[in-house]
Amino acid sequence: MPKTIDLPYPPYWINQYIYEKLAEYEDIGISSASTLNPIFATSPTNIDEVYKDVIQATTISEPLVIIYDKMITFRPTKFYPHKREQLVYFLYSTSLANVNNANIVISQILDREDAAAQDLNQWALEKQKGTNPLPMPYNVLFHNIKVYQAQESRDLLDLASARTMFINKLIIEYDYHAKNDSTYK
Amino acid sequence: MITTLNMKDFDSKMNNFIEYSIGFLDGIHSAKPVFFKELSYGVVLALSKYIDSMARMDPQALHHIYEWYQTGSPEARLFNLKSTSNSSGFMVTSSFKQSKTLSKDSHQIFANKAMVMENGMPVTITPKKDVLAFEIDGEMVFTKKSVTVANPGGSRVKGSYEQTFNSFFDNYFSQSFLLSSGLLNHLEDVSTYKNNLKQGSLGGRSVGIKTGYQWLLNANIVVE
Repeated sequence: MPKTIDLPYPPYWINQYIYEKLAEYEDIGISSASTLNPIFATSPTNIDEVYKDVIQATTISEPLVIIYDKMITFRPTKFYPHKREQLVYFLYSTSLANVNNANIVISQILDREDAAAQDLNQWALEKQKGTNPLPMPYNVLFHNIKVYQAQESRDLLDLASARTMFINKLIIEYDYHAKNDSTYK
Repeated sequence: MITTLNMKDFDSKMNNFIEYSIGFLDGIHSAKPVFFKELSYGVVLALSKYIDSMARMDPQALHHIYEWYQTGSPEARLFNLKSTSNSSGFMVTSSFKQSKTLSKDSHQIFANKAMVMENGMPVTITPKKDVLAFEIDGEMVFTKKSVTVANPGGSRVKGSYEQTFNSFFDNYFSQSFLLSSGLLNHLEDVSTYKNNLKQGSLGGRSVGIKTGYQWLLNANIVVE
């Protein structure tokens, strides 16, 4: 019986790539030693609850939590397999430095158009190999990636737990096509 | 050596070139009402999805513009977006719909919840017959008096829909939408004019009108 994880879904790859890249830095609030990926799809759960759970699971006092949602799909050309999608990312942390540092890393890694797409494709191809490959098949080829700042300023959110949370909003846009095999084409 | 120039043919072609160019601009002008109408449909669709997404991401700020417990769901929107257009441009206006569902804490439908909460209007609840029963910090409270709720929907809902609506046009539309939709690229590429130039030298104005009209209408936006 087929599994949904076998279907082409670009956010899987974007999220996993961002998680691994952010975890390479020590001053962002993501630990590479933790098995918890703190990038979650939006859900009815309160961010306060999510944040508490991440603190407990990772033992990081001021972790970075990212909530994402698929926003808009465009068809930029008449060639229908070519898709363009936008993911909205809300970066949360009680540390303003963590939010700002994560923003810098994500922009530096992904806001490079076709060069960023090539790096992501190459990384995804490598992730099919080795002793611990990712569970999903490499069935998405990225053409181009951009990052937009959704709003100029950082927002503040006072939580029920009396903590102040800093928020940064990004839009990640990528062009891609779905493919049937796990080769780089 | 004798060179003969056929000035009659030259004049005719030059005249057709000029007529083709003027016709191209006239064709664009004729297509503007249809273009802006199609564009406004695409913008309204993108704006709706933008608001839905922002509501799912930040339900405390935007839950009031959806039916209870369905924040971010397109089927549960309590706002209408309407576009009007002419040959000069388009305009998007918004209005609120009445809620038709019950909160789990109430026996009365709060019909104007979107409008009341968005404007931060205080609400006074008066018991009809018996007493009011409500929960504060996990404890049930009973009273025969009227109760005034200063910030219905919470402290973050006031003006948040307007802010989201404005952020779409102030930031997203110019930074992302025009480029991401492919519209800007299409408008920057006038190779259609050049490609039809030879035909225009024969057909003149009528070819120009057709080319200009079709070029602008091909700048359609597909939002899925």
